[in-house]
Amino acid sequence: MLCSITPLRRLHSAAPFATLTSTLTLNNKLIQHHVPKLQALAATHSDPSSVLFSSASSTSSTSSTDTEEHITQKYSRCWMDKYGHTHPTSVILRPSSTPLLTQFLLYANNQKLPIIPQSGNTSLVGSASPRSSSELVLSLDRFPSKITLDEEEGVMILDAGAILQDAIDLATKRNFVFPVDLGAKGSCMIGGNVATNAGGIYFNRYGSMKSNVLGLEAVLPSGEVLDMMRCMLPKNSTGFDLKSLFIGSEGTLGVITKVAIKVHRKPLSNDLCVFSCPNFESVRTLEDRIQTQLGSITSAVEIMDRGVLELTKSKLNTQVPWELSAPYYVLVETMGFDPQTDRLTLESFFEKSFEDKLVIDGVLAQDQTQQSEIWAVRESCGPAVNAAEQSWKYDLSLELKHWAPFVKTVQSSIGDQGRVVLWGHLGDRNIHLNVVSDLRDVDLAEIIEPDIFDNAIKVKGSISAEHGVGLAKAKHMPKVVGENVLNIMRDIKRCFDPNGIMNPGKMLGNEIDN
Amino acid sequence: MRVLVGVKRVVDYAVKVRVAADKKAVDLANVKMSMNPFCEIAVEEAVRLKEAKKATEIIAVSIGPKAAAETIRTALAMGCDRGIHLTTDARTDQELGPNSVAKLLAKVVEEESPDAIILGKQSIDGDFGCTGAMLAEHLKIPQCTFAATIDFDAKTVERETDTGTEVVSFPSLPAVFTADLRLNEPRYATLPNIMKAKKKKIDTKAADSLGVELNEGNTVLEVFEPPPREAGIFVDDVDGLVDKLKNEAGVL
Repeated sequence: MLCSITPLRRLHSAAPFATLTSTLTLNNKLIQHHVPKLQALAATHSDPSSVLFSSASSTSSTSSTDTEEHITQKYSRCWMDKYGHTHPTSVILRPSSTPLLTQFLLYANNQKLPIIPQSGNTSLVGSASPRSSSELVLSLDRFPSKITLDEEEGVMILDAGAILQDAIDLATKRNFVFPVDLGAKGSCMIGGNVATNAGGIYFNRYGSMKSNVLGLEAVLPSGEVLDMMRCMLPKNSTGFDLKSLFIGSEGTLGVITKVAIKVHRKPLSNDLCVFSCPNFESVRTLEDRIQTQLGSITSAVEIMDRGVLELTKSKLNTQVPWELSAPYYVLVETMGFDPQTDRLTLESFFEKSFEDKLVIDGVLAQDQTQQSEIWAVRESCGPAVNAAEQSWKYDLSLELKHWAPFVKTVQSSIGDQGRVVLWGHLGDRNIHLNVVSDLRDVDLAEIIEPDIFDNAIKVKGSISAEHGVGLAKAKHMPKVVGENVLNIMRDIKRCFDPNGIMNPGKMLGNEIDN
Repeated sequence: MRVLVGVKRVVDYAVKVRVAADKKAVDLANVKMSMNPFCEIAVEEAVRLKEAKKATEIIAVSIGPKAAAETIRTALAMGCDRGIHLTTDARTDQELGPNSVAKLLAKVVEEESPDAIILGKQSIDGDFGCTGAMLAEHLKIPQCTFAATIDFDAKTVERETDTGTEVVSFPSLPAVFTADLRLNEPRYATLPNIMKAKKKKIDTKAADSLGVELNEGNTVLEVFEPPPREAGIFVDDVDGLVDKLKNEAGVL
């Protein structure tokens, strides 16, 4: 029976859609032997739709195969079209409850089946993509998504399937600020956000995911449910903080099922401006002044260069409501106590910076609508880069003095085969150094890597500020953390996942223990 | 040509307002306030006239509390030359009605003798949409409301109607124009212009010192939210639909 495919995150299929084939494919045993067992587990939990599978036969021309292909691609292909699509998964598990999730993991662990936990599938480093059709995707897209908020304590409890946008909306409605806000918020889910130690635009003000996760529940491959939500108060110094191991674990230790996140009372006033800077030296001086003079009221300090803005205008028709007369644009959002004093503070800050020639122009949003328009420009940077014929994204943490030299080095290494654009979280030193090209058949990564990573390591930067390691950077881990640290990381991984079934090949590069 | 533009400080368009506990007004405590969107469009139109050298001076006028001065500053930052602030403590979203505002503006017009007066078609708090027409009536001058385009050379205005647009001509200036959504897209206030605006003059006087009766005789009885929208229903067939339309909705 064909199920109807919707482009929405949640599929409402009534039954698995493929039949068994007799072709000798690699995942033959998977389909013939394991899938029926998994379906039986699903049946005991009255959740038959939680197992999807495909015979992955490309010779069949029936429409059900097109449907199957669409679905397997949906759960395999990454957002950047770089991973998962050439060897899509053939089995997708989509539990709608923690007990069934536990049963699936236990089965997979006993049978040593590789499991790829998948949240919103918005990873930029292939963390959620399968490497072959014999890796099972464990999607949380049908998982509970309940969100509750304790206003007095400022704690939001979310099931792993909650979409980030919904969390942000609930917080806003009740006059709170959710500490994580990033471009993919309409699609990404909180389980994945925590698993990747997501950063976002409010890292500057509210800190990292680690400082905002007050509690966490995860299921291990052994089938154990690890309850780390017994105390959700911020000060709790009792033993090793296991929950922080899961934050940024990229699905390699277990599956996060529930989290408690600290939410912050919404400040009374909110302003947004964009400053145009004539060169990077003035950006550096401006950032120093922002910290001193605007410090406690800034909530976000972001940067965009003229290149990425021209790109968003040409590729996405984005309206950029300010003159593109300068090479760099610094976006400053403030959240303070009094709208009038904040405005005056911002205006005199601009005036002084203008006199000192650190800025040559700027805009100050006069109302909420203009604020949303300015943020829309900033949030279009990622999609704009994606819209180029080809693009390569580098998410680095670098001291400010290295930003301009890095861009120069990459640009001269690729010559006129591509263009380097710069944007990102200026306040936290997180540069999104992206390369776009109109050329179709040249892989500039071959020129840019590994030098860009080696150079970042050399200057004590990070090769993954917030995007994670995934598949893309796993091979660099030895030189990033050093062998002895990496060995301990692997020991810890083995402690949680002795059979190595959780996301093999990702992050630490562990393979399944067969 | 001298142009007078009205600007009103209102609850920000994006804010979801709530009714105050006493049900006599909208709760404005800590709520973000901004320039009325239609007033922004009016200001933009005036500034474009100046840029096209059709206007020589633009005056922004606002009636409201002390904080309304910020709204005038925004208008100055967008390009107006000077401002007039008539201060009042009356609630401008419900106590101070369109007729009072029209009479006050008429006094300002008598003082300043503008050739054109551009207002927003309505404010998003009161939503009366009457001020422009009432002002024209008090001054006994032509009015072209809901303007989508204004042509000062041809002396015509294309105005929005419920069924489309119509073109009207005005015989002479001065005249009152009210701005509708399609008239233009307002510019952002650039920081350099915000700086320049600080040096521009705003004349402040009390609204009740102009010799205008400000009590319209309206009393607000109650402010309440509209009933929540109910879910739709499915009907089984055409007969069911006709029955519902006739007997429940009462539209047949």
